[in-house]
Amino acid sequence: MKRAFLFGLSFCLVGSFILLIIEYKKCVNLKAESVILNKEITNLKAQLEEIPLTVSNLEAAQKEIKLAKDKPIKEYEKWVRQNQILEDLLK
Amino acid sequence: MGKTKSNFRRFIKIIFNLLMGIKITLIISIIILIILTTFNQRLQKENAHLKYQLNNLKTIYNQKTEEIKEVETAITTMKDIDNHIIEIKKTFFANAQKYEDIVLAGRGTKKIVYLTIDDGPYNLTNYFLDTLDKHDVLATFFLLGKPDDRYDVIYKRIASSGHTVANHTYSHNVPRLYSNKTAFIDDVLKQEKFLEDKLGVKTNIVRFPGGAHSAAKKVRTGIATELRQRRYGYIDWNVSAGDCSRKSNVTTIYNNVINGVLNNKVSVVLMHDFSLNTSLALPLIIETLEKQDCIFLPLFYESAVVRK
Repeated sequence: MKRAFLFGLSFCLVGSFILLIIEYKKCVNLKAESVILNKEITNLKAQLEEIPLTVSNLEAAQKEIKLAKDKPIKEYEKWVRQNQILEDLLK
Repeated sequence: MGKTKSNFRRFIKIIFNLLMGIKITLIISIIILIILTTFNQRLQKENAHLKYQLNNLKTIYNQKTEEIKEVETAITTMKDIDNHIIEIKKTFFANAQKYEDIVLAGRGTKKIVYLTIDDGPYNLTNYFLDTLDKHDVLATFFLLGKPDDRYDVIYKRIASSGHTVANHTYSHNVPRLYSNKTAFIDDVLKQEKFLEDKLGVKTNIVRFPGGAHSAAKKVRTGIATELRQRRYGYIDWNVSAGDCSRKSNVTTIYNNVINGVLNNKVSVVLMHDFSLNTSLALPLIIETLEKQDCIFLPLFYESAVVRK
């Protein structure tokens, strides 16, 4: 009876150790995943923080070019409109 | 006997201690297991939240990147706008030719009208240009050589608005032009150089002042051959606004054009930008013809109506 109890207890102990190892590994993996995710988030946030500057620089450049090339841009847009009329008729 | 008893007691004690050790270890490991599981659940939740946050950030980042790409493409297009204009013009005239073929074969849904404006530039040309711009219509200007500086702006406006710049000779001096082939060709080439110097545009369509039949047949044939050799096309008209007549007014000009276009698949309308009445009739002419399923095209060398 005592032997059986002893075996039972030992089995539980081994089982709990196995579960412990599994949970520990899971914990390590989750932590690693968490580190990777945090890193990615930090990187993306840094990139996103730079975007407004890039956008404002590009918009400024676009405005500058628009001003400098106002006439040809309008001419181009006119040709695009005229061409679209023909494209629609040819469909 | 006593020794055996004491050995048994020691054995029992060892077993008891072992059991106690196992129990304690088990309890500790279960406690650690519970703590670890709880911790892992929390980590899982945190990671799920981080993944959600990351996905949101990625979506925003992709949207912003797309926006940047669009702006960059727009900037590239703007920087290279001159080449883009050349490309879109090529596509436009290729499509115009295709559509003209369809209309001439009797299959087009809309008729084609080539508005042609002769003898300019004049001060009144601006009224014509305003109307054409307002209605987003392209036309053809058969221009003369007028070296007076005050016309520079008008020449440039015609070209930059996208209208076809065509050659109507430099002088429009009918008696001299039709006296012989050389006089006519020299005048056309003089006008070609004049427009090229002023606008950077090389003309390849010419209209005989007064129409091709103003020249005697022999002279006309010689001119036509010479023009063909120089890769020039020439064109008359099949609808006239009749705006040269002193009796013309806004109503007669309007009626002449609308009735003239009625029976043609492709109409080449003759107008003059010295006529105030024509400039006044033009908005209504365009609006009426648009309602009558007409489209307006600028002339181009490859067009079937340009004789080569």
